[in-house]
Amino acid sequence: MHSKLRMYVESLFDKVQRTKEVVELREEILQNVIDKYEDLVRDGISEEEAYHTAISGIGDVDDLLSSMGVKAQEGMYTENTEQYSSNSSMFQKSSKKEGTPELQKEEKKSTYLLCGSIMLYILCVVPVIIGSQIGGEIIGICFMFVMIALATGMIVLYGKTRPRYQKADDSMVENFKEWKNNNEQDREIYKSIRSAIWSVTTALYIIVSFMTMAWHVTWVIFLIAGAVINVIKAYYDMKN
Amino acid sequence: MSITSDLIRGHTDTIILAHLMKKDSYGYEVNKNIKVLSEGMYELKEATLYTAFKRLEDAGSIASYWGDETTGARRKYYRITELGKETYHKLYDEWNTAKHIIDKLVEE
Repeated sequence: MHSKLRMYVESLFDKVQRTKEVVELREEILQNVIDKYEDLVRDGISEEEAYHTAISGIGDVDDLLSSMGVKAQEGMYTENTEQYSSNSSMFQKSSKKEGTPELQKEEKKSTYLLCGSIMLYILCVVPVIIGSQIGGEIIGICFMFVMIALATGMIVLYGKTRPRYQKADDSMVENFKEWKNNNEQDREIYKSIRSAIWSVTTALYIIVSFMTMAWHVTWVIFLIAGAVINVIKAYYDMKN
Repeated sequence: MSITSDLIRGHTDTIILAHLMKKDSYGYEVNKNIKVLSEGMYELKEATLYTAFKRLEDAGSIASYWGDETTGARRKYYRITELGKETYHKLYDEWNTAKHIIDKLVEE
């Protein structure tokens, strides 16, 4: 029943801009209504009746909202798709997401970086194959490492250049999104470094093992890689 | 709402300030107190209550802060300021005067 109360209270506010002030007021009123509902149920009134009594006690919030200097905006883009009022504003969501031209340019650059690095990872075996055909195995392997290094660099750069989330307005939801996004960005960088280390390790393991044929020892390289990753993780945790 | 609420609504600010004179409080507590004291005959609409809170806060009569409940939802508390206390005494005197006059005027 609480979620039903929440839905009702949220529907009262769905025509106004979600500023921090409005969201706070909404939560305050919701808490009031829930308290009242709980009290009524405790007094032995049926849930259905308590719900109706609680929501009818809210009254007309239009004056309250206009006193806060909030103008009701038709077709405001709404965050909450669960709201049961049929709002044509849902369609405006996509147009809001596009962002500024600079942002789009940044996004394009990031995409190129990611695609390029993936391509390099896939193609890095080509010099080894060609090298082995023409007898220049070492050169082939060197080329492979150069390509891996390049790809890793690009993926790290991708993590850094990917545009940060821009706040759409000053509401709590948007603030949370920005915070979450910034937090995730750090994790993204860490994740890309980690995956790069694992692929380099695997490549190294195979190459070294084939060259030395010392399969009984070479697996140690995975332990070393694991340790290195943990050190990097510790560094990130400390930074936060 | 079994009695003429229009008569009382003009005194919403006085009623809220009177409650806050006793102690800091949050929305539901204020309203419940009104219901209890009026023996269930009067109760504010949430919209009216918060419009009054907003008006009083803008006027500097009350201030709000978030409570530090460890369990359950966080509540916004309101406390009366020095200016608010002055306003309360002024409104209280005005009401007493008005009550006196009206009593005289409507008597048979």
